[in-house]
Amino acid sequence: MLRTLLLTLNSLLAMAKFRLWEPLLIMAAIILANAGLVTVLLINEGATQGELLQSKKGLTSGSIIAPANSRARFTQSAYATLRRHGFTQLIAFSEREVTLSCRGSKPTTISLTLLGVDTQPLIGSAFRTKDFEAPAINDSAFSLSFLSRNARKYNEIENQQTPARRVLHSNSGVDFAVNGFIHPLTNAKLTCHDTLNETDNKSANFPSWPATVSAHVSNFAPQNTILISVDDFYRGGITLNSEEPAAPAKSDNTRRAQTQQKTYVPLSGLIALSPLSQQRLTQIETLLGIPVKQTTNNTDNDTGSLPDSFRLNLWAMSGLMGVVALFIVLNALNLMYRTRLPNIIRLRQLGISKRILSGALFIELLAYCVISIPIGMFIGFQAASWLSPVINGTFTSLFNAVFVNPDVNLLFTFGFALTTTFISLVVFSLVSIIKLSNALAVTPVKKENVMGQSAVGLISLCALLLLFLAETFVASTASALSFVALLLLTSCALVLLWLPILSSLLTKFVPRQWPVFHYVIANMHLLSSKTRLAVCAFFIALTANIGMNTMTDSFRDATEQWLTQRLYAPFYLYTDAPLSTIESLFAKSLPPFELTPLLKADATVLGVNSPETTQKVPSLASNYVSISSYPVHPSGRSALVLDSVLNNDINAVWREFKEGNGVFINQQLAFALNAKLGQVLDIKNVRLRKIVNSNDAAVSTSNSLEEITPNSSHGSKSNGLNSNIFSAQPQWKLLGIYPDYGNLNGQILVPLPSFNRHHTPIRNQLFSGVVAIYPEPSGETAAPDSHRHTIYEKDILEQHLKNQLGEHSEIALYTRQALLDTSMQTFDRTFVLTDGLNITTLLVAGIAFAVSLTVLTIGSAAQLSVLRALGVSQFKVKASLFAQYLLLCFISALLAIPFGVYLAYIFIQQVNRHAFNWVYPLSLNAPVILSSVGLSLLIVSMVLLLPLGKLKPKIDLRQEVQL
Amino acid sequence: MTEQLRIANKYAFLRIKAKSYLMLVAVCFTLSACTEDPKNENETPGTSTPNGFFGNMPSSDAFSPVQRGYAVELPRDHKSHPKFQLEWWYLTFVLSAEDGQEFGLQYTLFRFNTGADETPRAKANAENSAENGYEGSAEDNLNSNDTASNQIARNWSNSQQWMGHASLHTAEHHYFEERFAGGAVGNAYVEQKPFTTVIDDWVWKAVTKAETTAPANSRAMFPSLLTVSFGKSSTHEAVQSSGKGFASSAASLSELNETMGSHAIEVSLNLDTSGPFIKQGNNGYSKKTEDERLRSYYYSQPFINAEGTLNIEGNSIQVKGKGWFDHEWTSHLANSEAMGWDWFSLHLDDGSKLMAFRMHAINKNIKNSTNKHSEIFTTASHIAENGTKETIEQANVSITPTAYETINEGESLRSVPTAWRIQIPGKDIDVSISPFKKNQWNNSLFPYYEGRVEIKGSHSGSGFMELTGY
Repeated sequence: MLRTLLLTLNSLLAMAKFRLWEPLLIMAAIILANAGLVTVLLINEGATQGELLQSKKGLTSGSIIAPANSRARFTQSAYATLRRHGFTQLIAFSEREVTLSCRGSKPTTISLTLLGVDTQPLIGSAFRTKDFEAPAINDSAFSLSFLSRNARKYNEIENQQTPARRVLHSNSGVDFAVNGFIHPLTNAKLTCHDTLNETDNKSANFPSWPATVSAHVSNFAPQNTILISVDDFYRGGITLNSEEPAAPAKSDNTRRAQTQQKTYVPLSGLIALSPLSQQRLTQIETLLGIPVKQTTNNTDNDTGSLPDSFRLNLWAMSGLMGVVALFIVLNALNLMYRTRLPNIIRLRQLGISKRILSGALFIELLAYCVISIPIGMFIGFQAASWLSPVINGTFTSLFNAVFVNPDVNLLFTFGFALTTTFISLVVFSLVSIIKLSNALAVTPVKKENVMGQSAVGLISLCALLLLFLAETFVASTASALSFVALLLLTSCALVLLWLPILSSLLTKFVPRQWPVFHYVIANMHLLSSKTRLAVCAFFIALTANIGMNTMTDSFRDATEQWLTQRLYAPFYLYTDAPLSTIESLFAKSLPPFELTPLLKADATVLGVNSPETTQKVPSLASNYVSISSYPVHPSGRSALVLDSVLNNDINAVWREFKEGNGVFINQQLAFALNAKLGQVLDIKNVRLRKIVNSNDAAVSTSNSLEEITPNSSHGSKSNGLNSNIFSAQPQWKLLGIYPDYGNLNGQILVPLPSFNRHHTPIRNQLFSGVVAIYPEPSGETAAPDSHRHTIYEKDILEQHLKNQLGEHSEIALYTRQALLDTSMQTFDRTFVLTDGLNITTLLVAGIAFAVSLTVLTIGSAAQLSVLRALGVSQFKVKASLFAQYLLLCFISALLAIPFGVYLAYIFIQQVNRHAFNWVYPLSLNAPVILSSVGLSLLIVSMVLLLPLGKLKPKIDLRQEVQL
Repeated sequence: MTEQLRIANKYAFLRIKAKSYLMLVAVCFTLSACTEDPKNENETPGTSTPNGFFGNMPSSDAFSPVQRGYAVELPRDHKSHPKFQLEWWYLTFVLSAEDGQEFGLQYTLFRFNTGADETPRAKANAENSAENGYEGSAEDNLNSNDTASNQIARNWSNSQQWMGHASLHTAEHHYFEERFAGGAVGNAYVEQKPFTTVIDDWVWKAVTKAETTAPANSRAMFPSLLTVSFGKSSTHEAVQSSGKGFASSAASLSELNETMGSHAIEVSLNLDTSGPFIKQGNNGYSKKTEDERLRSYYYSQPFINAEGTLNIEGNSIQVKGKGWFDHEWTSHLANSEAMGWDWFSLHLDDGSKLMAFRMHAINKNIKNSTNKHSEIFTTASHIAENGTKETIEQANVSITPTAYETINEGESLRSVPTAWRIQIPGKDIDVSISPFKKNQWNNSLFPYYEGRVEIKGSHSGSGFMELTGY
């Protein structure tokens, strides 16, 4: 039994060897499908992990209590007093900067914040709620031993690339061990860094904090910090009190400590895991005798549904790829079994049972899987790691989100890929086998059931109507993508219906003077029913291709146009210097320029009110929005791009905006709130912004925060800040809606003069770090030669600014063109992925065509030999076949164009609308579409040439088995 | 929905936060050592493990030993004894309200010496044992510097580690909270004049009454006032669910938030005594095994009269009852040999008190792997109504479990003997002990059974029972 199986398997493999390219094709399809699968899996995983990382932004994202006066500090006893009075939710923390460097090499220092947190209260049961108690203990949270073991386990299973823990030594022979946490992203930034230094190099030989930090990688530490216990933080020369602490318990150590340099680091503040009420704050002030402020950072960077939609899109793409790969496999199997049929019959005649035969076939398939899946996975991994910088760029630049290099369980992935692939292969081979068995059975010739043209037309009309109807039901990203699938399937079915009709129509038009050509066309009519699969694959690939390209192109056009108009000033200055400094600098020393700063604040939108009916339109949640300033000078006006304005009267609207009688909102917000023009926004909790996500900015925030004057700092939760942020409270009437591509959050434009103009600290807080710099209005008349002018002056201006500001602050001066170029480059890089997928799908479709051609030529070998017998040259036969297929492709390509455009429209108006909350005009660009079609035809023709070259329009009658 | 998601996210964050902080506790090696315990119990639910209740803190020369000749002297020894590895001040109350509601209340302050200051060796050992079973070269690197590390000044806290437990059993609910604090930070301490124990806002403080003759700077423990507020609202316990759906997560978050500010239980009890302090064992020297290798200093105050208010989720209830105070300090009970114990403090109806104690220990000299409870040491103290104490030797007391309760708290099923029979023929005592209610389990870092019991048989009454190491 086993021997028979082995023998059968051997003969099958021998057949495979004889016609090597068929199994190779199957393997190629498997590799392709798996590469796609793994890539998508990895990218999704990265997005998920990034999202997870970001949703946990660390401790400091809660609210922080600090003395209102920046010079005052909390003491340890103040902390103890608060805890003794029941403020058990407060946790003391302290921070200071340290630098990490590589042993030996100098220039690679990275500066991080050492964050010491009182870990003691957090062990208490109040921090273990019922729901997470069990997992917490199971995962075993308490101990370091457990942690390190888990970390190692985690490392082995999931995290092949990065070590789950990093040991940092101080430059000292004598040190103590400290356990800490480091954020994975921060850890990823560090390469060879293993040495911990103080920021000032004075004490290199006697570091005040001679610790060996064993930092475990955990996404719970805030980024760019090393999180340790406050107990470890205040060791060695790091003291809490400016004077020498005289605690008796430390008397043995003071002698030694005196040799060390003393560094006085006060408590930075108290972390409150949930914000405190004003009443509690007052209680704290009474207890401590100093005014305190609470900084709530609830802008925790809402990545929104982006990673979700991103994932969904990717899955859709990989699904498409999978379908196309299955087409190939189906075709290849068809072909393989068709060519093997004579031998299989002989094997059957030798008495090999059906079971053994099919067993051998499946084993053969399994062997292909086992060989090709690792290759596919490898390619997938490579592709993912090649793509991840691109995607990372996309994530950070477009969506302000994090993408991490994913860690995936290799074994699981392999198992998953193997099972899926093998099962689908078995199913498909069964399909082919059944088809062939049916072919073996004698069936009377059936009259072909041809549908009338009018019936086809009616069906098409109904299908299209249904499609349009279905479109109106699209309400979410998922349904939008389902609709895309529906659209592709429907259009595919329609093409299958129309292809025979079109080809027979074509037959009528081809003159009979060209007999070979006429034959070609007529035969194509027959072909069209037999090449369904290939046509479908090609059609879907091309439609998707056109759709994607048109969408991308429209997006590019829209973005470019929008950017070009929005960037009105010749220079843009990005800086972390306070606005007041820059303003005074320009006022003093750079007279010919005028400045327009970008001020920003945060707020919460509760909903919209219609002016007539006071009924509130409920929004899903209280939405976080950012409020940006918008200049009211003429160039600002001309730079404003609006999708729609109230009453279509731009002049009136601009006047109202200028007078503070209304605001503009972006598309995203309008979609989220379902807002109509003329309605009034219900805005609450306007507050100062806390800069998120920018590494450089994070530092500056913590510094500048302290500069907020006491009167502004009480209770940032209350509306008290409103009066400080705005000099004149704007009316939240919706005057217009503007496009704001690449932003996931809602945004409101408020006229610049409405913002507080006189209070310097507030203004500095509002300042987003961007200033538009442009010549005095008089310069506008000399606009034509301004370009040359600006190029020339940029260097001078930059030099000047650097001289004035450079010591304390980072500055970056961009010309308008440079900014535009950078943006568009980022944009283009983002869509590299799309191009790759486009080409892949087309390639797959081409292969499907090639295979079906081979299958068909086997079937039509007899006819071809008749042609040859009639004296048609071999070249002519081949050329005619080539033409036949190309024509088939061409017709389906023609049919794909309208559907592709429709698809692009769906992508923009439905998928983008629901996934990103923005839409943009669909721009039909003939070169784009034509190049898609051309490229696809080129690919198909290239692929077709392969089997055609091998084609021998002769038959060996001895080999022919009558079927 | 988005809001829910946001909350869920935040919740997940908090959860991770809490989890990871728990990990950070490694600062305190004491605690880290103990984690082995629950894990092992996972594997063999219902049986004790070779590790002790307080884990495997090694006994060390660094800590002061408990010596036979030492006489416990009061009120001097109410104080904290930081050189000893382990110490606790333990209050249990059997309370009843006027309307007949019955309560069991526990307040305990534990102190551990983590040994970080005392000697390099102690810490190195502690760390090694914490790292037990994990071979890592990085660890070795870390440990090699330990000698030095202890000479580095600590400017935030000292080597003392405080842990507070508060637990209230009503007929329906169990409220429990556990707190931690580092020594020398200022939010946890025991002071002598006037006697005060503090961990955060849990305060037990001696008060001077006008009629008492004690001077204001007295070191007396009683009369005193106990104010403790703790626990999560029981209504939220309904939220507890095995699924991690958004709704339940969000609810848990709000639960967490709520408990941060306010507590379900507020206790304010005035404590006074009607009898003397009782030095257990030999003048306060209490042996826990026959060979005295496990031993402690131990005295009790079983004659506490408590009166005050319990505020349970907003309902203020006047209560009255009896209390029992234990103060024990040792450097010999925290290692793996001390696997656990069964302890009873009973207020009998004839006015006498009974302390009964059963230790499970591993005797390294006895190689008997099949029986993990290789050594059981039993002892008791009978305290007559007038305060005369008699230590009952092992031969004259029998403490036997009569029924087991399966407790499913935390991560594993445990079989815990909650019904007992205590016989002291010499005192004509033959009582059966039954729990006040089911599931009186303190699911703390070192999980243990602590609950009120009712007494029937030759005597009746009520008291408290502590079962550790299960």
